[in-house]
Amino acid sequence: MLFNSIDFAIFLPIVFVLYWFVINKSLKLQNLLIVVASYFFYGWWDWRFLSLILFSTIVDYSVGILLQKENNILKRKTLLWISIIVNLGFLGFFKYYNFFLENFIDAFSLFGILLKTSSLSIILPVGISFYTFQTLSYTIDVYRKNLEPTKDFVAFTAFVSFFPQLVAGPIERASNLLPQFYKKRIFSYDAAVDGMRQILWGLLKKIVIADNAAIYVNLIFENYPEYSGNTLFLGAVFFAFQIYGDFSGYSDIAIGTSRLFGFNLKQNFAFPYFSRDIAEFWRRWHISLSTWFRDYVYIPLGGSIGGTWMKVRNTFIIFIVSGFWHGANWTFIVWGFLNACYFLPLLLRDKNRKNINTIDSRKLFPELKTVFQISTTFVLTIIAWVFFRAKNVATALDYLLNMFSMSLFKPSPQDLKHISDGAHIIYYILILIVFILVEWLQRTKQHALQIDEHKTNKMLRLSFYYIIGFTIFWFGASQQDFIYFQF
Amino acid sequence: MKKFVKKIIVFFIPLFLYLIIVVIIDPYNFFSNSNFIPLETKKEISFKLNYPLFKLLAFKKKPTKNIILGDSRTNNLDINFINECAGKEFTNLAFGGGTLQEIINTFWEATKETKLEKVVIGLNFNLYNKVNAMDRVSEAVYLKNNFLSYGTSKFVFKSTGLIIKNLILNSSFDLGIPEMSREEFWQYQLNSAANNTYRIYNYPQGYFLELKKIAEYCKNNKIELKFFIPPTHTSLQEKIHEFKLLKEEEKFKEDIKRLASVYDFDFSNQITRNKEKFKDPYHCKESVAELVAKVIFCENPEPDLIDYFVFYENKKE
Repeated sequence: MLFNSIDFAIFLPIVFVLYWFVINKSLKLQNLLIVVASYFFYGWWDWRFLSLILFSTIVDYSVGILLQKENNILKRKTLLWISIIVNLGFLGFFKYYNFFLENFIDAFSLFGILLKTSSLSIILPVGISFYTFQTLSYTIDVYRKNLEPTKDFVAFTAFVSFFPQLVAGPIERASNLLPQFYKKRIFSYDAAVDGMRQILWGLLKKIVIADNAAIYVNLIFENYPEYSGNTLFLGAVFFAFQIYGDFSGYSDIAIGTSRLFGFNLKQNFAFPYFSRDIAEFWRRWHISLSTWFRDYVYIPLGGSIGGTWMKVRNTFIIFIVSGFWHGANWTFIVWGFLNACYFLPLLLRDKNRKNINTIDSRKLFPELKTVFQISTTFVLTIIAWVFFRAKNVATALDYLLNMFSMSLFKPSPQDLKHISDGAHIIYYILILIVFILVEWLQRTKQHALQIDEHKTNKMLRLSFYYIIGFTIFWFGASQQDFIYFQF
Repeated sequence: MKKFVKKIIVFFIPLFLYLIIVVIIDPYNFFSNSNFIPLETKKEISFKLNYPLFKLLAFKKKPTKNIILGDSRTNNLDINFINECAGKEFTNLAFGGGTLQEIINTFWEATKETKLEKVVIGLNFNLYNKVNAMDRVSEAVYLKNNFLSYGTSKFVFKSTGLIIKNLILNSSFDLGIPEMSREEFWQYQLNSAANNTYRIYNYPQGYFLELKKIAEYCKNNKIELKFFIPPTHTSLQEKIHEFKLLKEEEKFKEDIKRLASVYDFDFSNQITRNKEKFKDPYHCKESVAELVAKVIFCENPEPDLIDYFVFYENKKE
């Protein structure tokens, strides 16, 4: 079920009414309703893969209980590895089997050995990378004794399958989300209203910003050899906004929906395109994944404590693994590698935490120096996004070569005429500018539509919501799947 | 809690009111062909904003076993003339600005509504391009099957607003087409639209495979499939030469000939050389459209029409 679908618009109020008006007195029933609603939500896409989630849930729940009873280090390690192997085994099979097989065959063919195997036609279960990491965090935290294992199976099942963030995150830590299932939820008017605002902003990001950008991105990337450098640059910029609108829009809707049910999820995007360097970008982009890798991969590897070699090694591992998490394609690996190359000079010069304060916090407009830093970071980011979007590495390189040719500085009205249907592109760019302005003005908040009711005029506020609603109606492009579902 | 629910309901009241208005106006005849808004008004407004939605909803209510698919050139064929001439009832499911992807999607959608007997597809070389990938049909299919999606779609929103405006102000609908003389429009179509179409050409392997699937489906289900290439003015035909796409055009014709019988009207002849027979380089006038219809649909077309088309029979049919 997509957040931007009518199905969800019907599903959400039904669950909300049942949750707060029918079974509001029983915590257990509320948790059970979340489980049923979540499985229904997921099964709407493909019910067959519900068994995978259920199996992971049973394994990790059991491992958690057994870990608590077990003091023998070897046995504890064995239990942890059972959880890791089961979870990563599913992920590896469904997501990476064909990739490894094909590369294995290619590697042998280099030595003249032709292997005859055929790849499997495997459907990737939606959200498998997200819920796998979420449930793994539970086992690892219990193993490290950072978290008490739960004995409440319903609460644990609800934690693993919580529908707002099941298929595309944010990847919640057990230590943050699981305890919220133990406590009676109290309805907060302010939180619910703020949740609704965040949902509205998320829908705008997805339906207006991302889906409209997709029209141009698909056309430009599909026919890139035919376009001039500046059109390719425009395509890369639009893709940057497509992926941001798509993914952070999903996160906004997920966080907003959770707040309607009395849950607090962590912020997943903190206005990343206003970052002044790549290190800051990675503290603001897909925060739940970056911190997951930091806590469960980077720090166990030694983090940045060791010598230069250790820092270099760990940085490359973390970024490449993060890239590979996104998909079984060399393009994602190169994307990760490129980001590591961007990040490393900052780390080695101890400048990776230089920009941790709010960007030009008390100023309406950024300083010239900040504009330069933001623009440079953005350009580096979009170069990396080209690899993320392209079909293969060769195509991405070719795209970049064409983009950084002399035609980059030569306007091509013919291209614009070809990619745009009338004045649509002009309207889209205008909307994009207003969108960036709103995000800039709200950059210190949790989301761009976080408004202090006491400081703003009610009519003004309402008008703003209706304008957003109207924009979604008027400029809404055809419904498209969320990009991150495929990860 | 109650305050929140109350506020949400109040907030959404405009949406509920809007949906009630949509039910009353029903710009695309989702429910029925109600007389509250004259069909002519809807055709003038809603139809022009989304041809596929309008036509597919109409087809859903009254499906026929024979259909015609294509773009605006095929849409120009007079359906009453065809029905009379062929002695069969056809539905013209061709759309202005249609693409090959839309033709393919419309075909499969039509098979879901009825058991087809005859399918005629009008296809020109400019549609046989991978770059030409617009698809309004998938969305129209999605909208026609769900009222809430239909009611909240931007097309219904725009159409409803414009119909109300028309009712209140009794104003005519303006599509925003710039004022141009015939000659100016001719040159625009030739130098702007055509150049834009042919500047970037990629062979549509995917489309060919999809057409092949359609041909196989038709064969397996005993559906008569025919292609025709509508006539275009020679000044437009010369563009193919100008952009060095003659080989690609040849391949296009070979491809469709492999799938079914083809009537080709798009070559230099007395009609296609005559500017007076065309509204613009792409679209012939009604008299030529009637001639095309006669050749394809009438049992015994006049023998002197032979100069204006070439028929390639597909023996495998």
